Amino acid sequence: MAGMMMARLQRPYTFKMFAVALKRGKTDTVPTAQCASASDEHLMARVREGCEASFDALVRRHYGAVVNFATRMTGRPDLASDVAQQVFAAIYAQRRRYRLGAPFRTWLYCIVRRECIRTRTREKREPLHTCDPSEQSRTHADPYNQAESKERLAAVARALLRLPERERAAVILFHCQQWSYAEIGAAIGCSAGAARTAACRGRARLRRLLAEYLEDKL
Amino acid sequence: MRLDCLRAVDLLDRKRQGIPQEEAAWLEAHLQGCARCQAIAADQADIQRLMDLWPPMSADLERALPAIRARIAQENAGRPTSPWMRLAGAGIAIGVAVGIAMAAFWAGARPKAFPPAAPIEKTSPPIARKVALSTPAEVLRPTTHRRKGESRCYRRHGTPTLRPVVLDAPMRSRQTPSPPPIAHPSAPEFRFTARVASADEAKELARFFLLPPPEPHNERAVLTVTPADGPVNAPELQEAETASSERMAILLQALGETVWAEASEPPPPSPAPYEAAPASPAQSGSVGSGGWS
Repeated sequence: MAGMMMARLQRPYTFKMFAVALKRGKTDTVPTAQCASASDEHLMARVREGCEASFDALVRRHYGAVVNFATRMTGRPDLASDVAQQVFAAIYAQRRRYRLGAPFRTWLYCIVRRECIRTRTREKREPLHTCDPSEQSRTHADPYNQAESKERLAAVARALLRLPERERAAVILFHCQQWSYAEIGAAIGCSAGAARTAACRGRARLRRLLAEYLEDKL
Repeated sequence: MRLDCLRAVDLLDRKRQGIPQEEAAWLEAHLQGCARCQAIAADQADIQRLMDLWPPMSADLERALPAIRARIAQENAGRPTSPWMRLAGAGIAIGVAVGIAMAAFWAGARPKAFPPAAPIEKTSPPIARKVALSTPAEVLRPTTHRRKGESRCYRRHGTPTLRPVVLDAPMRSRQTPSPPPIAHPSAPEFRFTARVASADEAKELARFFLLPPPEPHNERAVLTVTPADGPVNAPELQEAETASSERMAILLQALGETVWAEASEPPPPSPAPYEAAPASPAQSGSVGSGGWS
């Protein structure tokens, strides 16, 4: 009996199980273990019904990636957490607009991208220090190497900010989030071929902007 | 680019998501022999190394979750909780806007203040047709006589004169108005004021008077048409001019059933400095239902 119960708990939370829970009106009391195993789409379907545990699970799952994406998109680490919090608050507020069964990740990054654009427009200022490499970069024992690493990192951040927004998003999602072109296209609102083109153009621009660092072979 | 290269580029794109062992081996073999695909792979690897310079940030979830909840609570406090509330607000706003628009519409459509007109018998057929059907009327022809001590004097002619009204003449359009009647600069000007029931009748009446002058004349007669329901839109039709007061009187007499008109005399010319100015009694009359008086 105990074995059966354990097997039931470890079973991934499927949409059918959610539908049964929805009929019983018990969507608010989804166990944390089931939240961890459920897919993003199922969690979001529960969030639509007002399940806060599922929302917390979604935040835990995606918050770090959203902060990293926003950091690279805005070039401002201090704004990235603000953007991420705003995005998740907006997702909860607009949870009824989520179409059941639609891929959650592309919907999320679509909102993140829009919020990044809005933040950049609102700030209207170029970042003087796009990031603080001393906190984020790998620790180097040699001060000379550390300073060089800081400089490279700042150059990469500046070059990313000089890319057009769509190309920047495509490059970041492809190289940092390891997304496929189909997913990138869904997130930035174009086809997979257009996303591939945007990423290739962004790469070419980055190569031109960072030619001196690429010649050094990093 | 060959088909093999296209496949290689596709595999390069999907390499980080994971590709089967056989495809990875094929890609390695292809890269060994294709310089172009090698360059593409090196380009991707270079950019990847550049992007890897930026390490992932550490997200503080313990602080983020309360902050997100606080934002959600703040947004909920700032907006109406129910969509029905929002719908009701939108309905009220639309109702207020429609009310303002209706009030503005009715205020604009209300007739402006206009002096009260004399009671007029409304006629359904147009004036021109009615005049055309009427027989030539007997009119009183105003003539000019000189009295002793007066420059000009106007009195009713003793015998009524039968004068036909030219009604078959083609009416001129608004675009080609008739030339102004030729009159001497010192010719006296008779002013007539007609009150009609509506602006349409006023236009019809004024158009009727735009006939060519029948003969050379030595006086002017100007008819100012005043409809009861508001001013005429076309200013050129609000005043009609005929060659002579006699002709105006004929026409107004013919229209006597529908038009009530008044005629006023021109002011007497100023006397010469060496001549004593005699008193000139002003005469005014009405043509139409009232006739000359």
